[in-house]
Amino acid sequence: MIETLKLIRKNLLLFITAIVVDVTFFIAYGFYTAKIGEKITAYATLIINKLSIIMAEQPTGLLKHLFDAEIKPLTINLGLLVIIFFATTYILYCIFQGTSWWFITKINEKKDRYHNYLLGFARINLIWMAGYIIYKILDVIISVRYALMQKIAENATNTGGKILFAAALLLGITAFFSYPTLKPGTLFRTPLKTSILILIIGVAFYIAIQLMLPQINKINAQAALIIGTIILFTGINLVKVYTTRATNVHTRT
Amino acid sequence: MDKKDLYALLLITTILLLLALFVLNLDKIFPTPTVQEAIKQAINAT
Repeated sequence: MIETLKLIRKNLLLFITAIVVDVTFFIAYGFYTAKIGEKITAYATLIINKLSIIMAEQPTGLLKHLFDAEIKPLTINLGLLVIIFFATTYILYCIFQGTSWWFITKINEKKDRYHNYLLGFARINLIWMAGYIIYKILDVIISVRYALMQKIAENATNTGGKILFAAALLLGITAFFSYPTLKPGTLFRTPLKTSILILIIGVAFYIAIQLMLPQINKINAQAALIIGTIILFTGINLVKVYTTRATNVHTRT
Repeated sequence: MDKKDLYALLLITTILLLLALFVLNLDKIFPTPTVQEAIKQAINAT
């Protein structure tokens, strides 16, 4: 960790730039996906409106009704919008997070060229994006199933939901560890002691923010927002630098 | 920074501009009532 702080001090401008790129990602993500999300909601509401009228008379064959003459254009547009949403997320994530991680590798004195790193980052995120899409589909299925189970048995437990959450967490951590080396299996080649230490540092930052911010918020809400943003993104990038250093030591590239 | 890195930056800028254009014209490409109007329709239908 001391070595990590020394690297950051030596490359402070690169570290600040990585933080700025991270913050810009969240702003850009909001701008680009908000409108698409609204459209998806509008189309879903329209489809549900029309379906409720049709299914009042014909209660079976939901999938068939989605492709009835009146609803088919809406269903196709909804499908297109969902694909566009995922594609936009993927493009923005690769551009901004790829750039941020490239700055992190520069801090760690790696010599990857920007366009090469971005290409490798885009390639590896095809795997994680596929995993994310599968997770979202399963999440919808399990949520609907749980909602139906609760109508029958109020005390039903959402075991499937908990297992899925754990799997999603593992997917996220595996993806995070893959970014310094651009190899999907980096987490499993890193010693457990190192991985756990990195997770502890990340969780510690998160808990610190959760404890500090409500206290600052009582004094000044705007200050809490600014301080929270600074601490959060500094913490994230500190963990990124440390992870890059730790994974480089154990998986010589 | 070499030439390929500069081309990468140019490509990224172009993609972001085209995506912004697409998002700003989403209403024309996928015309729908707004969410509020869609909910109003649902209430009227019931």
